[in-house]
Amino acid sequence: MSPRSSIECDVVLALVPTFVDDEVAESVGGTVRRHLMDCPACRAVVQEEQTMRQWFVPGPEVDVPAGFAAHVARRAFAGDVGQAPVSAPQLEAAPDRPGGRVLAFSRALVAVAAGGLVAVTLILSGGDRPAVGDLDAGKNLEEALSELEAENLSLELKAPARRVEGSR
Amino acid sequence: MHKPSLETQDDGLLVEGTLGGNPRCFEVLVGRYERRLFGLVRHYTRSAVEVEDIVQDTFLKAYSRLETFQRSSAFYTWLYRIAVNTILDFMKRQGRNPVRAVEDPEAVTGPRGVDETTERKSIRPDARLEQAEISAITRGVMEELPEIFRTVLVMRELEQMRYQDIADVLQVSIGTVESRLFRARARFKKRLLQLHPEFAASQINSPDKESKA
Ligand SMILES: [Zn+2]
Repeated sequence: MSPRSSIECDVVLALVPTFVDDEVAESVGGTVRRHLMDCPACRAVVQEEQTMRQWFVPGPEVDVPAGFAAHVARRAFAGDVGQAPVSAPQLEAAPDRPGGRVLAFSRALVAVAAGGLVAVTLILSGGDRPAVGDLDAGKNLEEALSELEAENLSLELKAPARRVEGSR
Repeated sequence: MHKPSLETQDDGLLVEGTLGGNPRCFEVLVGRYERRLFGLVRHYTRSAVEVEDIVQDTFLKAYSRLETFQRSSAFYTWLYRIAVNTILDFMKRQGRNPVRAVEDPEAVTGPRGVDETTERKSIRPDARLEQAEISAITRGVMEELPEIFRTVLVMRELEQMRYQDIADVLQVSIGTVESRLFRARARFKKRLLQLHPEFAASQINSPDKESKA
């Protein structure tokens, strides 16, 4: 009897990214491995997924300025609460866009609302998705969108207190 | 009596020491994680000055909020979360924050939101490429991805973080990390194919057709 009969290709394919990331439970990993031994097609997909990872190699060595930690500690204890300075391009652009941030925020909200509609549509039409091993993209989409909305809100709420001048 | 050096103390004790008013404790904490944060932030800007500003800002914010740090959680995860928020904040103020992830649902096809033709195409680094060249190509592609996808790719692929740690930093579920990574990789691949079609290999076969024979 073929070991493949214990698990379908559809299920394996849905698990491939997490399997390659070594993030599936051990028992699941074993089942997937057994399937792969017997299924060249799924094996090819796994190899393809591994090929993708080859693009991610360590970049050049990071240069941390000498004395950085001591400098930061000094500033922290001097009461500096931190604030990256706003760079010149935005300072120049600011007069052209009074209320730009509010507009951007509104646009983001509209976009989030539009995205939400799509998410709801996906959820409603989700009946034909594979039931087992599927990542439930519709639900996650909705979750991601609500997170985005929250992120937008928190950023907007934090922003107004900022000084414009640099702190260096 | 021999006193253990601060450098070997664990994060929790250094946090205590910092809160107790010892700047050396904080300096050691910064020194411990500065390299990783510089490594993270450089994926968002090519300006060394900006990288330094953002990392510095992250540590200053961390210090000012140190009392809110929950000892039961990992200091680095907490610090990383501040870093990610600082980056987002920075990009947004620079007008560089593409919260374009919200566009994605409209742009996708297929049951899992992936362009099927992209998924079937293979793209691999040329064997003759140096690591630095591969890194530069990848960086160029990453810079074009919405921040929400770039962040998850950096954490997973370059920082080799576990799903659970990514979920903790982003304060989302593991399922969200999975689906975000899935979409991020699809976007990465698609853009890579567009920018560097010379690396596209022959198409792989559809597994469904073969396995059901
Ligand atoms: Zn199979």
